[in-house]
Amino acid sequence: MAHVEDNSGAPATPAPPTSDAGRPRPRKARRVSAFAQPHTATFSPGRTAFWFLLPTAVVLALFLYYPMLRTVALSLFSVRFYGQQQRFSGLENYVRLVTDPASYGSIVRTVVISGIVIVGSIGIALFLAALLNQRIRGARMYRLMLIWPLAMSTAISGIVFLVIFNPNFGLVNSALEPFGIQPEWFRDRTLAQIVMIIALIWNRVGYNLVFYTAAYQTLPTDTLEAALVDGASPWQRFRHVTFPLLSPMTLFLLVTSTVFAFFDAYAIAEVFGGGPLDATSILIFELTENAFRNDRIGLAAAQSVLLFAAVAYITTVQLRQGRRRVTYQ
Amino acid sequence: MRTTKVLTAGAAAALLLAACGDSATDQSGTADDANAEDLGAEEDDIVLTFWHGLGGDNEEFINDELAAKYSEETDGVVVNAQMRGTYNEVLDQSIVAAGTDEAPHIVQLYEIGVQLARDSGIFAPIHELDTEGIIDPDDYVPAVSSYYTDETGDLYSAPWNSSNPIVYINRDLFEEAGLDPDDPPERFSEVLDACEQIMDAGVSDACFGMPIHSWFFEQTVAQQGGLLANNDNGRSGRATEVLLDSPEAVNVLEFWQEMDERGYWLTSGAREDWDDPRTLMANGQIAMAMDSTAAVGTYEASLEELGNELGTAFMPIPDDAERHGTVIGGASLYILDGHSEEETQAALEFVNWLSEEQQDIAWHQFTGYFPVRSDTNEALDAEGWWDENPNFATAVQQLEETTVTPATQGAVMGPFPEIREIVLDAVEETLFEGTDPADALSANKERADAALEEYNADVEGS
Amino acid sequence: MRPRKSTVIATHAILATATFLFMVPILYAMIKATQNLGASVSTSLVPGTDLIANATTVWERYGIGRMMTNTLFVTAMVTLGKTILALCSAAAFVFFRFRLQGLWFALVLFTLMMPTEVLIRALYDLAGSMQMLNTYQGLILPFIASATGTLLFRQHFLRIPRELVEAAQVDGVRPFRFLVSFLVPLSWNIIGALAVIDVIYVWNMYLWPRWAVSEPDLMMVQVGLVRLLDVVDGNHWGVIMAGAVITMIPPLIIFMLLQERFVRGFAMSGTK
Repeated sequence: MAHVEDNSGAPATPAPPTSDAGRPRPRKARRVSAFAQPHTATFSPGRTAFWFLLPTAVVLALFLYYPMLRTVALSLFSVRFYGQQQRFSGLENYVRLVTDPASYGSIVRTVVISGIVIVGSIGIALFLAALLNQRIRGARMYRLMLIWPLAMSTAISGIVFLVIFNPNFGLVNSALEPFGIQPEWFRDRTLAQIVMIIALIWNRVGYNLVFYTAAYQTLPTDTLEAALVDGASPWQRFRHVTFPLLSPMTLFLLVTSTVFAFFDAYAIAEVFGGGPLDATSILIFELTENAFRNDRIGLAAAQSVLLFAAVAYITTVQLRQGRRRVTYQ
Repeated sequence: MRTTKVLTAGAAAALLLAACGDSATDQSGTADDANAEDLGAEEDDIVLTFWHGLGGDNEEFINDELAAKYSEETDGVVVNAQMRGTYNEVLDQSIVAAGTDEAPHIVQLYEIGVQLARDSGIFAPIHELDTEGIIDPDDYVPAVSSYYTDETGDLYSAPWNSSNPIVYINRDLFEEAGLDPDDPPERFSEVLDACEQIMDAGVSDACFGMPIHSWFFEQTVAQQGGLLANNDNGRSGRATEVLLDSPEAVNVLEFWQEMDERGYWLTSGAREDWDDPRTLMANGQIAMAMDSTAAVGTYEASLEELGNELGTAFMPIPDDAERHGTVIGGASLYILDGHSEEETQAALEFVNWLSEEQQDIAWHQFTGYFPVRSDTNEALDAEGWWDENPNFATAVQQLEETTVTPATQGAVMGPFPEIREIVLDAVEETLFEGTDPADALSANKERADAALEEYNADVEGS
Repeated sequence: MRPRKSTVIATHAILATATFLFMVPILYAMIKATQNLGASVSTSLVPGTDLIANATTVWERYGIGRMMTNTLFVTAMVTLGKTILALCSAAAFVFFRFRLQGLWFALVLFTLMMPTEVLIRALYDLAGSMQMLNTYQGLILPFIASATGTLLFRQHFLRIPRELVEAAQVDGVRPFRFLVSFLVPLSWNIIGALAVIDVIYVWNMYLWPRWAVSEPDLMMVQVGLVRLLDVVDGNHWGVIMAGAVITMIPPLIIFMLLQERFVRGFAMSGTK
């Protein structure tokens, strides 16, 4: 999950609006300021708030805003010797990224892998959460085991999957032996990508499941019972009642899973070395390779800026789409 | 009142800062002082910071048997050895730290970082320092020190841990297959024949193992007398072209492809997976592995556990090639520029001490890296070490039979680390996707040349 | 109305299959963790007797014990820091009016979209110049501010009855006292929910700790274990898997302890 500060966390984001508060929309300062107005009695003078806000402001300014500006600046330089030598080069790094055919390859790769991971991990989690919510015996037990993978750090999951899919002694190939197929998982681009996707989905479903489970607890029982009385089939009930009610959560998980698939997947890419032949070398991995191994900090910074723009765009689209589609009870 | 507010509101952050601050210094922060005290340094002692990239058992050895021992033996000097990640990270961090009071004195960097380290300008070339009575370049084995001399012909950095590739053999499996382990295959066709026999005999799953690593490619090219880069491997002038399409290079990949296609070579498929052949060998799944001499201890131990005996052989070369010798691999020691005269002298003395006979012997026997001093080799010889430990001797013989030419001196190129990745792309295309070796190499040559060109332009444009 | 029996059986069948599939990698790691070198690099699935030996090796010889301590310490500090800072900043937004409040709030919110990953090199250089590489501070401080936490607490505070705040003001309670004595006791469920999120977050951190720390003594365990792939001779997978299994224990305990609170805290913040 995210090292990104905490996109991880915001169940608040998709949650139904409370009273007259709109949903947070960082893009529009006007709405935000209306939103940010306190609704309760306030202490005065307002200056005191400064001391409450100071620690957060300092940390965010120093460790997020400053590096962000610095990254933008670095992207305009040709940097060598890990920063020892810097030459202003304008948009050269960006031009290079846009004109290099290899960078299209990595964009497509990243989008496809991330897309499957996002949809897969949310879809599976939703399916399992729906089953678990049928008030069946042992639901707690099932749930605990299903979220167990979450206790394994993504990087460590990568190691475990490396062994499971090891062509010479791994579990998968020994299970496939009776069928006479022995895929060389790490010698084939597509197969390696499949392993990466499986590892990421496996690692992530638990997280989504936890949140869906929590969301199920908050579903209004009267609405569900009404649907039951109407004699709707389980699928109809899910499709027309439960799923729409869960949509704020789905939206939230879409946003957090995007961050997971784009950034936390780095851990798996590193364990797999980005290979074979760049097959698992997603954008964040390439960026890091450029920043730390290939001594191309300027280029890496340009990649950072583009990646940041892409994720910000995707997140915004998800939120905007969500605002249109999400049903609040 | 105002003070109270400040105190209360900021308390949270302050508490946290204090908490991390304390623990960091208490446990193992980076502040020189804290470490120096841990190491028993006194007020006026010189604290030499030594950053290196060797982990695991080697790290322990450096701390306990080298740094601590030197600090104890030497009045007024305390060595603070710190493992700083991969060699790449060591260089990166050295540049970030250069000029600050965190800057190390001695930095260990890998051989392919030579050009990058020199161009970075943060190090003082040893030949420009006052080494009178401290370091004598002639003490070093010429085949080793020749890698670390610059255009002046003198030492830029001091050799230390050096290795080359050898072939490890499971003697029992060889015998079971009807092969003579005392006459191991040394030519490509001999390896193929031996593998065929091993496979036919069915003594193991496959025959051969090797990390998919550019180092083995570079070494086999050099063995044939081939250059990896133009301008005498970048030794007579800045390299401007990577000679990936040379016949020597094609030979190597053709051999690798054949080994792979015939199913002789068993590999996990992961890039630079050093453990792969070691695991396979330990498991008795292969009878031969090409690996670094620095792994000799590992192979001895794992074959012993398997109840088998280990043999070693020279690395294989094409049938019609002449054996030119190996390029030394490993790392050397750099002195960071900008420290006081006194500290720099102390650093040089420590660097020299590290490969003095006693330490050189201990280091060799513990790690498998070969001795870098001529005296050490003689001493070990006199002691009968080589006779008793023929597997340690193979690498040294291979080195002794090396003629120093630009090919065996090894290439120096700024973006060598990146070029290694490009070489591996060619290798993987050949092995995994069946691309013709010559095609794969010439396609990737263009990328390597472009990286080189870009680097050179950046360096010269400064 | 009870679901039909066949539906129940089908549900159980699907859940059992899914659970099994999800447990396979974990069970596999557990089995491998018990095997000796030879068995661990074979296809064997027979549990061995080397669990203790492997665990001891990875814990002592390869320093996983030390690294676990590092990770636990960082986790505790980041969680504590995020909680405290978020409580303070949320209180600032809810219980005060000040100039440019909307802008400040927007600036905090915007960081939700700023992953540290894309800033990695600039952050690394910054940490380098502050001499924070290879320190605990470097692992902790960049992560202690929390937009998520601020949002969660803010939403919670907004539902606190106006009367309570006014009563406190009438009694002359100062803002900080109000935070500690009124808000915190009302927020334990949210704090618990946030703690779960933070623990998962820190436990999964990889990119930053991977590069910010290179000294084994200060390494976080998830980074250290990947490093072991290069360090453990001949890949004794039994030893490495023992390490992998050990690292799962603390988060599992936390899940079990905080699961209920998480759901409750979430329910409180998520709906009316």
